[in-house]
Amino acid sequence: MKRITLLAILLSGFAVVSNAQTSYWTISWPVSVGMGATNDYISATSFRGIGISGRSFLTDNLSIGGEGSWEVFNEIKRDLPPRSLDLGNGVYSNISGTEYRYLNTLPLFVNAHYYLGSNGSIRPFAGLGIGTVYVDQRTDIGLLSFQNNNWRFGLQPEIGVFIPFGLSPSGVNLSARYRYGTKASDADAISMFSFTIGLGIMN
Amino acid sequence: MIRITKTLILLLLAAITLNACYPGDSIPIDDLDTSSTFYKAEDFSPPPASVAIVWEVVQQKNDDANDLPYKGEVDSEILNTTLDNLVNLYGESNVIIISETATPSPTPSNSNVSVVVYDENDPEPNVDVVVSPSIILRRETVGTVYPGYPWWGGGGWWGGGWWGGGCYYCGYPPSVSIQRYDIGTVVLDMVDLRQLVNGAFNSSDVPIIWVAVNRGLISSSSSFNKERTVKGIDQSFEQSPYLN
Repeated sequence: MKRITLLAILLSGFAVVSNAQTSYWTISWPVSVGMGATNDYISATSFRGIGISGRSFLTDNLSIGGEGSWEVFNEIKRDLPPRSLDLGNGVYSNISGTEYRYLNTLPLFVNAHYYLGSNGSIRPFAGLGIGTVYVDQRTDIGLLSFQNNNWRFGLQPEIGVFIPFGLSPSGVNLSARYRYGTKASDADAISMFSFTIGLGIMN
Repeated sequence: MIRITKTLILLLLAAITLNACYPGDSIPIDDLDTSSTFYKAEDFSPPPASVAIVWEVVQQKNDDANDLPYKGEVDSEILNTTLDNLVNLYGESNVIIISETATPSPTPSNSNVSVVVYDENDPEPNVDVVVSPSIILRRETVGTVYPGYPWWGGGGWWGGGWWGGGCYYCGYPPSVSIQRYDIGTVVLDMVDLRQLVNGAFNSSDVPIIWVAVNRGLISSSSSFNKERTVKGIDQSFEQSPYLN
């Protein structure tokens, strides 16, 4: 009797799995704004970026996956106080001029998400990404450039929703996420908030 | 549904296409202007109390086709803006103009400042420091700009002419590019005469204790050049509060 019950449970489990989603792919456009020291460096909103993610469902409501994206911030800053540089041997320099500031962030995260709703319906989700963020920060003053590039440890909590186009596996992916990249030896921590809109395929 | 999908795909393609690591359209020429100053704090302890300005903008050039065409269009702005700032710092009675002739040209903006005509037999002015302006007119100018003037001859405390010799600032890292000047750059050098001993410096290097480099002040618009020249030189002094 026990064997029959166990078999029934397993079969019912397969039946559930066969009807559930197995993967969720998105390609999205992020609109980002810096926070904290990142906002002090560039306060302008970034409309340049692209993100791709792929997730695999472990259960009907839980997925794990990975994602990568690229956000570009830039801003022109005028009438700033001069920058002070210690050139060594007791020599100092002050440099003033219009600053062209650029910030590129390229995160690579593994992530896990939990979904509400069921197959074929609108599916809100929440998740967390963890991994590394490559940051390229450059300031041009006239023909001088000050640049640092480095990899940092990063975290990215996220909430979002998948809205299917009727019965189609494709739909709109909307999300809001916060990203933190740790401080590097010669650069401030990265802190930013993004809204994304994109195309999702859940099947 | 197909229309929404197409729109989304187009938006995403646009996002990819528009991306660039360092986006930028055409950059206004004055956005490339920089004012850089270099100094050692120990050289201004104590700061100078009196100053002379050499009333000529030395044109650093090769006298060939590669020189930037320049006929002194912003000389007046360079000299008079520098003079005004020096008067503000040290007072009229502590500033003198060293001129080749008794009637300096261009006309100084401040008629209360004394004019001393250069005398090659007595070349050392009785002041703590001398400020001398130069403008870079030749391409590929590499090295240290040494102030000095053809009409000063080869003698005096200036040493061997106005180009070459030692290298007081050659220790600067390449990122600052003090050793490589862009064409059109205006340079102000402050030479410390307090280091003179019996009319000569101990070291072969002329003790330039302050350098102001205003990059790229020459464009095709004369009035715009003048405005940017004044702004750049004013900024050089404003960011150097240790000068007095």
